[in-house]
Amino acid sequence: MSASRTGKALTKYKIVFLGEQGVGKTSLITRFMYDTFDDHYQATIGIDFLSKTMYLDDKTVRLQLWDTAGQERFRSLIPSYIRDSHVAIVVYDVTNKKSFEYIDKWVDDVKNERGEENVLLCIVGNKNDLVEERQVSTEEGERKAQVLKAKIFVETSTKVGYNVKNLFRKIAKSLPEFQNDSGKLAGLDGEAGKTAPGVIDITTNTEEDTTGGCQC
Amino acid sequence: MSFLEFQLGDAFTDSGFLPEPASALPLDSVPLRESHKGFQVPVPDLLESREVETNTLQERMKLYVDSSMRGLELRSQPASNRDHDRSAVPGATSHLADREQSLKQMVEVSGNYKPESSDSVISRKLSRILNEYDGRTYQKDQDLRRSFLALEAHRKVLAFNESVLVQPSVMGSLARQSLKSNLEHLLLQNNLTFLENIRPVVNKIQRLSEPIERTLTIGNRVCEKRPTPIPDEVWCRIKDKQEQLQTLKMQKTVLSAVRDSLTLSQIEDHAIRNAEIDTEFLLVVNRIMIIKERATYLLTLPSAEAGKALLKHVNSQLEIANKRIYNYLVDFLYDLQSAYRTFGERSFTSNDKTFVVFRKCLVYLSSDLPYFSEFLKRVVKMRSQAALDNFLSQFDVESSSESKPIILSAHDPIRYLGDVLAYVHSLIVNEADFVNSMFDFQTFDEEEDSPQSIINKNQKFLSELNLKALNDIMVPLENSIRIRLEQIIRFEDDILTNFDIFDLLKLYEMIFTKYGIFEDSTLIRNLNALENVSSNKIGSTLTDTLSTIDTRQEIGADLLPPSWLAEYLTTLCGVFARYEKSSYPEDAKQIVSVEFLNETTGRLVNDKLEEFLHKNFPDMKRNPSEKENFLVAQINCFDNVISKLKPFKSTVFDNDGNILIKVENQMQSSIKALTEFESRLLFQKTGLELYFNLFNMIFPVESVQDELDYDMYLSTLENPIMNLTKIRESVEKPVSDLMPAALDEFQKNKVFHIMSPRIGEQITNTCLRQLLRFYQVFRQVLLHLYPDSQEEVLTVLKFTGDEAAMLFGLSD
Repeated sequence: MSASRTGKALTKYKIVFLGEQGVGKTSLITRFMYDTFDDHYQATIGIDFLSKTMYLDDKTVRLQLWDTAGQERFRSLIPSYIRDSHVAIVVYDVTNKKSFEYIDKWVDDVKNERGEENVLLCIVGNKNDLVEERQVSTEEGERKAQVLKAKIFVETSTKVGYNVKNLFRKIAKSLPEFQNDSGKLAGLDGEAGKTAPGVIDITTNTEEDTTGGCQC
Repeated sequence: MSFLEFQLGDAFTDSGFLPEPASALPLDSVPLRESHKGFQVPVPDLLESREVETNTLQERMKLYVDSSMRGLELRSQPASNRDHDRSAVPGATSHLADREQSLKQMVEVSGNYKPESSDSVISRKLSRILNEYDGRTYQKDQDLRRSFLALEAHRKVLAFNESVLVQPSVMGSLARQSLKSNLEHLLLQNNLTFLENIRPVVNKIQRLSEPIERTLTIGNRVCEKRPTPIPDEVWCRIKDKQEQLQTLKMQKTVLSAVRDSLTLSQIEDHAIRNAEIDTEFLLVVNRIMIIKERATYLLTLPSAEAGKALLKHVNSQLEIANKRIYNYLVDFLYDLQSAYRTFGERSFTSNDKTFVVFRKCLVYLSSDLPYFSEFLKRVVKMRSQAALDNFLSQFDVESSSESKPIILSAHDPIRYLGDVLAYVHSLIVNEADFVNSMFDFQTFDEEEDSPQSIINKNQKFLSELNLKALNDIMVPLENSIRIRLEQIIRFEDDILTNFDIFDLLKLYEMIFTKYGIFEDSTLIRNLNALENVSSNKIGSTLTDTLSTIDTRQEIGADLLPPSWLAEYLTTLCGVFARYEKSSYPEDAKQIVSVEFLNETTGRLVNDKLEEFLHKNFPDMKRNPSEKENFLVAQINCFDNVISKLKPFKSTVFDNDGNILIKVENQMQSSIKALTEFESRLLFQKTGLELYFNLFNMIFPVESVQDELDYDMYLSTLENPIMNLTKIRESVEKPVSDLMPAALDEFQKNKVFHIMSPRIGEQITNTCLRQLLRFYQVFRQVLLHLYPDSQEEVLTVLKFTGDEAAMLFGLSD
């Protein structure tokens, strides 16, 4: 059996995006996938799906991004998608206190479906470029993440592209596939990395993402 | 290369003089043992005389001869004294020493060997030769230099050891002879090779010599005959022949080109049958395709035989190629499947060579539909089997999977259905990922290697291949999916849950089609069928509820709507409210259709309520009191229905609001009937009914505008009831008694049971206003008709119009 005929091993990871309506779940995915931002808000209908492939040596990993609708009428669908997800990203809006308070409910949903051990829980405070309108401080977010035992907490701005890549780098580093590898991931970013064609460094580099502007 | 055979020295400068062979070097002076250690050729007097100017060959020769002679003189001296000098003299002296001394003697003297040996002489001379030039020896030195360079360049070939070679001993001599022999051998070999190479040329020349000689002879003869002119006839023949030759050459060129363009070469033919499937193979297939295209042009010729034969041949070759491609693809698939089973999901990078060949093979095979379909079937079978296994494993409670199994929860059928559909969703996106990576030819960029005919002809087919494959993969799952959904939906009776199910199915129908499932696929058709089941269940459950209502239920003394009406309306309003919140209002209209409204609302009002009221008031036509109650109960029921349904007037009833308007009209009719009934009763009680009828018969009281209109009632004076005495008897007391209590009478008794205060007030006002209006007109008419008995009239109808209005609680 020819090795090249069988392709490379492929592992799929299901990432589900949760959070209240309008916190920026879809924007986060769009920024990650296409490195773009759309000013015009358009509510997600039902559940949306996108996928992204990453390569590391002979390992291939496909991230399946499930974008859920924040609207109340679609809430009943979401547990069915959390049921077999590997990563749950709970997003809140730093300018909307209510969306921050609802994090507990979303995390409860995740824990009900997946337990505490079987899922990588991430808490993301989005829209941190709106400094004037901020209602939730970074410290509050960090405290909440600690209380809820979230493995990753970051503040992002999908509008200016701040920290989005870092978020996914951190997630990638936490995946079992890459935990023992200090190598470089390809295909994680839209720009496909700068170190080599199609390759990016997964080591956390907070400076890289801050090119979009200073975030307080 | 001849430097080894002859003595090295300035003697070379004279071309006429052949130096003595090198073997004459004083071998006796060189100890054999030391031959391998930095051997030094002794340079005796030559070194001392270096300072002497020796510009010419003769001078140097002289110097050399003197030195040699000195050496010969020294030979007569004792061995111990002359060793040094002897060893220093090369050439003839050494040669003589060789002949005179035995090996034993050589060994004896070897112990006294001095560094001034012949090696040193040789090296110095060589050095001088190589480094010093003058005009006379230049050519020789150059030759020698070239010889050394050549020798050095071929050192490996000749395999000589220069350290041995320069030894003056027997070994050195042997080595030099051996080298010489090798060189000669090589030279001979080179010559032989050269001769071998030119042999064919010589043969050719020999072969050609005879015709050339003949040609020369003929030429000479022709030259001799030159004076005789060549006849035109011959010239013409020559010209004809030349033209014929040209035509034949052109024909040959054309035929060769046709052959090349319409047939495969031997190598290509071999490749089609035996070569490995790769890009080269596909290029050959591409060529066959091109030949096939060209062959079709031949069919347009007057004689299509050539075209037919060529097509037949090309088709047979294509058949072989396609079969091989098919086998390759099947092998590829089995390898992939095997790896999938062993190691899980696989993926290919877009620039993977094997993968590129695979995709190209697919394009080529698409021109052979039977093979292509067969391959596609295999792909579909492989993927659908895996997908089905994955789907079924989700229901396995004992599965080792990390995620929770899909379990039917009694209290949450929506969750179960949601889990099933969400998993189908993830299966579809997975398969879409797979087929897009394998079969998405929309961005196929290898056209330059692929025949345009295939790309053009199969463009639509190829561009939709991924979607077709995806749909085919999902086919075997459809039944399992349907069974799992249907077992819940068929047995769900809750109306609102059915509405949720309908919405859920609609949502997933939209999602599935978005990811490439065809709208006419069985999966979508199944979802549609299940949507119909759930929507029909909403209507049927409501109509069933309506049908099972017991209309014999007795109405209470308060004449309020029956409890079943309230319950039914609550359910109905729940459906309407759910309809308003539906994510797909257009689709939800399938449920809340006109037919649905007629069945659920129209039937309620027209059939059930009517039936209920008639059963409760069977004697209403004969019994006024019962009729009054009937009307009140009817108004209450209608009011209840309208008040519940009116919020949905602009949504549910916007497409066909007739039902609600009809109910409203029916209620208004009932209100009017009750008002008339109450009004008549009021007139009866006040004794004014006869006069009211009489006046209205002459001229409607409502139309009286001013005093002039009173004259219209002059004719009433002829009627005996218009006598003042008679009026006093019939009217005075009832009016006096009733009018002050009329408002209370209405509010506490008649309209008290009407549920809606607005309707009650409306009826009261209408009745009392009508009475007031007539009272005022009647009083004024009497005053007008009996101007002389006005006081009497005022005693009979003692309340003025304003007083009456005040008593009735009317502002005007």
